[in-house]
Amino acid sequence: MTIRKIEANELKKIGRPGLKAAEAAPPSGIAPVLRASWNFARDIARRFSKELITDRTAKFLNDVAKRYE
Amino acid sequence: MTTRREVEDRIVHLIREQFLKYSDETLEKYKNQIQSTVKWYVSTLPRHIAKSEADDLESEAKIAFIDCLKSWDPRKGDLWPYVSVRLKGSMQDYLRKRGSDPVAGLYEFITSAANVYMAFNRKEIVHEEIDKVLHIDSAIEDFSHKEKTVLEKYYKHDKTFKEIGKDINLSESQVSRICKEATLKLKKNLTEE
Repeated sequence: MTIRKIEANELKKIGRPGLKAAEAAPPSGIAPVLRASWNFARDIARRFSKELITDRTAKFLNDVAKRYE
Repeated sequence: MTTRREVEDRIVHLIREQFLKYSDETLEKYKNQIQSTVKWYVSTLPRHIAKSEADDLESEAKIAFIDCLKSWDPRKGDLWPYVSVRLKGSMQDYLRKRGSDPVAGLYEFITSAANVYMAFNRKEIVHEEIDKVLHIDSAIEDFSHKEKTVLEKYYKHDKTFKEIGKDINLSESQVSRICKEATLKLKKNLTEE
């Protein structure tokens, strides 16, 4: 059995639980209705963005958050 | 009270508005696929139509593509499967419309009248227009009544297989098969002549 030395960077990467969930969370201050459908909005923004040359998911979501009343 | 469906529709609408601002990018992304669809469709057309309409068909396909972006719903599936069907339909519509277009009809009338005039007054035979008509009539002489009817309705009156089938009490696929066989036979007869 060999024991491998773990680099400091590797530990940093492993030790950040909940990062994905934090990225997926809706921004603060948006309409509660939109907050409830945030996963849907993100999914749709990704699908639209997939048809473009550059990824504009974040831009689309920001715009929806701003314009949704 | 707003329903979940209404909220989702509004979200799709808002994102689509943004998405349409970059429709050039989407067009660029699918440029090759659109071109190959147009090429394939043009290859199925008679040579004289393919030659004169290829460029127009490509522009028509691009316009149809942009229209599709406006109506595409990402909840129902990917973009390309939706678009590819619509592109073919729009090109067919364009050709049908051109056939019944009064301007196109007038142009054809003037061309054939000019050819007849040339043939009679200058004693020069402008074969294409006159001979085509004479040859086709003799080439379909031995065709069955059904074949003649299908060919006439499809090519002359620009009817769809469905409409022809309704007229002569046959299914759409039977009409399509008869038309295909009769066209091949006609082609063979014309080349033999």
